[in-house]
Amino acid sequence: MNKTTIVANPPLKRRAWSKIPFQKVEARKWISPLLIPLVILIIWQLFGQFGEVSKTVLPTPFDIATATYKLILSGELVMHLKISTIRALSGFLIGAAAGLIAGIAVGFSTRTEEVLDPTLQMLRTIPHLAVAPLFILWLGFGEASKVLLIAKGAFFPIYVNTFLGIRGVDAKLFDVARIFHFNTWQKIKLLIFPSALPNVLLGIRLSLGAAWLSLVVAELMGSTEGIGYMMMDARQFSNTDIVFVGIILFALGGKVTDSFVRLLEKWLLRWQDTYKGTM
Amino acid sequence: MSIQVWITDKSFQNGVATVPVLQNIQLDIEEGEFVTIIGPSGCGKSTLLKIIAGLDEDYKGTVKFNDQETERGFIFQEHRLFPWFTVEENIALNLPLKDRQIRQKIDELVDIVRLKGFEKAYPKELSGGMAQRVAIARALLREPKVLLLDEPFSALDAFTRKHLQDVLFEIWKSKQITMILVTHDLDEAVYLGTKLVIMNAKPGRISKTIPVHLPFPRQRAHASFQEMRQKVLEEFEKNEASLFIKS
Ligand SMILES: Nc1ncnc2c1ncn2[C@@H]1O[C@H](COP(=O)(O)OP(=O)(O)OP(=O)(O)O)[C@@H](O)[C@H]1O
Ligand SMILES: [Mg+2]
Repeated sequence: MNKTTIVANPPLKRRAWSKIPFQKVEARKWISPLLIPLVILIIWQLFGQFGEVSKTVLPTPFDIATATYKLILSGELVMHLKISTIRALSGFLIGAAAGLIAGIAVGFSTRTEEVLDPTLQMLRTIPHLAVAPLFILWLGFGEASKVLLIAKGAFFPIYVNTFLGIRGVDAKLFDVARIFHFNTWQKIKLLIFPSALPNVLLGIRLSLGAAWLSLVVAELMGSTEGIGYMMMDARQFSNTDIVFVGIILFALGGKVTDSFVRLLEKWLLRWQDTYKGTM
Repeated sequence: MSIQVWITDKSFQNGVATVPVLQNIQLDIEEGEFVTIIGPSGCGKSTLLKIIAGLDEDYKGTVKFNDQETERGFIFQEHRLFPWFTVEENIALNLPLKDRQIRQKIDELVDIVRLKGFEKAYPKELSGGMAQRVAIARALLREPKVLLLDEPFSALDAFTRKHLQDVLFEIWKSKQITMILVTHDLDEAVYLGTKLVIMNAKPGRISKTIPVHLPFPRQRAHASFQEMRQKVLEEFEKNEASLFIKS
């Protein structure tokens, strides 16, 4: 019974679907991801207003909004955000560039792999919190130690994925390259690079995420400016609402950069034929 | 342009064991011939083609082209298009698409394989038959003197297969390319071949070479066609019987 309706319906359904005005479909796409956060916010606000919860434990969304507004007015927010962004970005660029280069070097040569990869894999397993004190000892509390920590975080995802991408090139396409007399540069440009690109982009996405995480660690460890510092400072004075502002900023920052790379992926990988999640 | 294939031994290392795949293969191919090779699965047909194409150099014996620089084209069982390139980019690959001469040739080929309007499509947007036609155009752009085809139509439906067989026939007739086609399809072998090579397995050898003198274009329903088909089939069955006795 079910089966027959499924078989009979699709053309009809599709037509009905396409009749829904474009804006509505577009709107649905924007609203869907906001639904759950919205519900949580409303419950949270009601809970804070009518429940007996102290503001230092759980400020309401409204409190947090007010705190944000005040921070914007005083210029603190922009100042902290700017310094944090510069840190995250410069750390990411250094780490990602190094990771990309190392991934390419190791991907293209088993000799380099044998020499370099074991060491890098060992370093990869060292947690941030374990090396942070060392970086501070060496480089002090200044920018260098923070940027280095972020770079370390950003290095590995892109290194591992670039390596993986290059080694994942379909050997059958190499036969094609041989038949048509590709030279080395053509092999890299026409075959290896495009084939590895999905992995490289994934690496970039993960590296960006790692850069944000490392930023938090770096700024919480000790700093005099930045979003992490703003949160630490607020915690000391039990300004829980500002702590929440910090959390939200980190979440938003992560989301914005991630969306940017996903947009890039959509464009660069438009040739990909993969499951789009429409069952 | 003629080819002399003489492979005394080709083996694969399977763990510690050495598995002989081809033995005493002797095959002379004249310019402009259409050689079709048939044989049971695993008898080494793909391996033989790869050796002739120069993709596999690890064997004992020689493959002589009277001109060693002979341009060889290869069409694989799967289309092996580059998924990140469009149809026209796939045909051009390492040749400059912007070059006027090449552009013109590509347009011509796209016409021949009937893919007008799909130049900017990605492989994911093509059917199996269309993708295989792109692969044919890609091989032809290089103007090979020899075209090696490894079961190029085996994954296609009967209708598309027939169409592409005719496309291939037209190309062979008009461009005088020497063709070496591996196939599982007896009809295909008799329909296209001027020389039919039957192989048997374990290890792969050539059991018989049959010249096919039927005039082109061939009629599948014709009595002479059926007769030839029957002859090849009998040869096949003889092989199987001898295999049976041996084991
Ligand atoms: N790379 C390889 N390593 C080890 N053994 C191989 C390799 N390639 C092929 N063989 C073996 O060589 C034999 C011949 O393989 P080949 O692919 O040439 O057969 P085929 O005649 O083309 O078969 P089919 O008609 O199924 O395509 C098979 O037994 C296979 O197991
Ligand atoms: Mg094969």
